[in-house]
Amino acid sequence: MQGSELNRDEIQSRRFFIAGLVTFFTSFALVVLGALRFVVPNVQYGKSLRFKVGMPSDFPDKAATYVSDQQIFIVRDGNSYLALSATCTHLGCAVRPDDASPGFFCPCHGSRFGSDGTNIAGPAPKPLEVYEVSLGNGGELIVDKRVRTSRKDRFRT
Amino acid sequence: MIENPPGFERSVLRRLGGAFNATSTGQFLATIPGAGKLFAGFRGGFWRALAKDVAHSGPWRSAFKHPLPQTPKEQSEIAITSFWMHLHPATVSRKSLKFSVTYGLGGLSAGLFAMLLITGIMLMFYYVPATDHAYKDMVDLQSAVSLGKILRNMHRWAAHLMVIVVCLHMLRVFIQKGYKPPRQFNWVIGVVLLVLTMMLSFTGYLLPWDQLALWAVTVGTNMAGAIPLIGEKFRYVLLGGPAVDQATLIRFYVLHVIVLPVAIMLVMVFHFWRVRKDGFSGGLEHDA
Repeated sequence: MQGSELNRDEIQSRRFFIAGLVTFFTSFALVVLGALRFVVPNVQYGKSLRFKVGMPSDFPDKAATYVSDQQIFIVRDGNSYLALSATCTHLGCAVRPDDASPGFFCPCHGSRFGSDGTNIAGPAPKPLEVYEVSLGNGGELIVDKRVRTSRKDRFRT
Repeated sequence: MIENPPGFERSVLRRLGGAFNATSTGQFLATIPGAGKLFAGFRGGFWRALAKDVAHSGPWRSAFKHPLPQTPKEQSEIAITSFWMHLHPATVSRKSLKFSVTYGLGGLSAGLFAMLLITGIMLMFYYVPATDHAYKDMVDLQSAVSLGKILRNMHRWAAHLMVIVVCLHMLRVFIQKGYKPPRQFNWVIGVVLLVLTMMLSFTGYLLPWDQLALWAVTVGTNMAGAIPLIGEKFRYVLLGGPAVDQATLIRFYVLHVIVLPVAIMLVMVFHFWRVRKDGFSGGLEHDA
């Protein structure tokens, strides 16, 4: 019992003091680092990532229709439908239909995209994202933003 | 019983100047019709007696421990013991006082910051950092609040100017080699201040919640997202979600009005203190 207790000299030693300091500041740093977790939100309230956009016949042929509350374009070409993200792949601004060509134009830094979302000019490094389109029970188009597909793999009615 | 130090009486009266002088007050009142009659009872010794009472009161005397200094020795003693006096250096070399040494850029930056602090606090009386309020509050400040337009524009222009002046200050220090020993650490502190200024500028940019603000912050945080490995996570934490929204607005607001101003003030105080301790750069060659 006597041997396991620190004697007075040990408690007053420089080594004990430094060990105490190191322990204190290490635990303090760990607590601070752990507390940083606070700034990362755990819950996001928002719209469902899988949603109805309307009947296939609602969309005009050979045109891009903007679904503003979801920030996507539905591009219809005959019986094929493409759900394109309206978020520019450069720095995230919202693209809009190009006045000069059938594609899209980003007002922030001038990127241009073809009507199938292919990046053709400006700083955008990638084509616009393509989301999966399917048909709901009521015959309406359903877009799922969680599933990204290829522009070659178009949905056909 | 505390004894007045020698010269106390004289110093107090000199400090008070003519402000409470009975004769001049009486003369002033005589120019206002009816005032003479109204204040007739106060005429004569009233103001002088009041001034004397105040000057002899404990709180007043506690604020002026020393009489007005008459010699350089007394002056330097006050410079050591008085808070306000110690902010000013005891001696300054003539050369470093030349305007072309500093162009007053550091002082201008600090002055602009003071202006931003005051106008910013005043804007906070009307601005609510909510997505359905922010833009309307900003528009209201511009049109429906007394002095609101000049207040907001003072804040806006002072903010733009501060970024410019801070950069010019840095350029001036660089050109004059003010970053060289013994001032190398104050250059580092200055860089921290520059970064904090930029962060204040960026966080404040979102608060009007107009299209410019929204997309500028979208672009800015997407740039942060390009940091290798932690970029996406960092962007998520900055925005408080996947895109610029209410969570972002309140985050930027808290950073802009509390976190960053407090941080920059602490670092500024350290910066100024080091300026004093390292000596003024203009006097370098001639001081030694």
